[in-house]
Amino acid sequence: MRKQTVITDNAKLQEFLNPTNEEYYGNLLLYVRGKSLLKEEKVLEEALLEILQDILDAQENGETAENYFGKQPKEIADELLKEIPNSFFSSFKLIFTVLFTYSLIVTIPALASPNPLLDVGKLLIGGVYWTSIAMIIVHQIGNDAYRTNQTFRKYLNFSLSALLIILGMVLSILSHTRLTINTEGSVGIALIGGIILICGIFFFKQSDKEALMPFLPILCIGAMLGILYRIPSFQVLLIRPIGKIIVIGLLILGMISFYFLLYKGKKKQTAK
Amino acid sequence: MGCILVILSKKELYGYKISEELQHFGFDSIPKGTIYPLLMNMDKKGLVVGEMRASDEGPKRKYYHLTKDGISEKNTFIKQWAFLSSNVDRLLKESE
Repeated sequence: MRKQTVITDNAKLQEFLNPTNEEYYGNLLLYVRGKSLLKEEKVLEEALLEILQDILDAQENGETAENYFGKQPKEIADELLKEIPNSFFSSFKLIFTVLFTYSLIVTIPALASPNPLLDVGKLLIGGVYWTSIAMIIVHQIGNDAYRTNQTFRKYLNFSLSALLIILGMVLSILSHTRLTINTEGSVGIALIGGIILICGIFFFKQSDKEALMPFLPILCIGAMLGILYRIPSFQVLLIRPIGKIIVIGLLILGMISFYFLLYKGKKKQTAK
Repeated sequence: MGCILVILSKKELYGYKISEELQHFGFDSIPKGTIYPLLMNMDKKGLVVGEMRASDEGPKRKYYHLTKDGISEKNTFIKQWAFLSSNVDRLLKESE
């Protein structure tokens, strides 16, 4: 079975858990997935699915997940993690995917401006920073799954995450490097076209397209503006006051679409 | 580990069925969660092989069966247990 199929099967089967067992298994899932950055993902996901299927069997026979799996799930999860082989390839793939996705998402808005110079160094710094933050947050979520003072930890993590996000934003505004490429004219258009093509392939290959839907309008608007800025006749129009108003209007439209689709997605998820 | 090897030598089983067998033989107090790291460890050592297969109930389950090494490990366990058990029995009888 493919890793993605195992994850999808897991998500589907979780719907059959009763609320108590759902909480128990949910914590186990958070803890194991959060602590498995260096582990072979497929082996790990197969083990998690196997446990879920057995908990469902136990549930059917009137047994709770805690009675079946044990009162010390953290200790058992640690033992399980010890047995799962390390995979540097899996970790590298994950880090590369996050870094690559970040670069794609950030490059389009960066290209949607009249400035033809693209600061690649800045992109790399941001990419490394945000990838590290994402990994730390995921690891921390795993760590917190079995902590006792949940409310305090939640506030502490929220404050720390907010601080790190603000720091990342400041970093992206203030950092400038000399590692730039000129994206004027056809070079920029080809670059945008390439990024859109990669994003398109990535989007159509995803099983859960709904989660990515909110990003589509803003990416399309950004790509369209980026291309128009690189066509001389449109560039003249866009740098005029009326052109600037159109650009701002389109970006606002993109943001509204983003929040609308995000809200719609959340509502649909809650209804499930 | 030895008990799981003995159970699996009779027939191929998946996690929950192994736990039921253990319970049937009186291992009620053992949290069944412990069998998963154990099975994974046995798989790593080449004593068992887990294969995804459709179960009687429908969805695919991971069925475990013993390998040649697993069978030999089971036999070693049985011999060691017989030796230990007879020694302990003798000790208890003599100390009565």
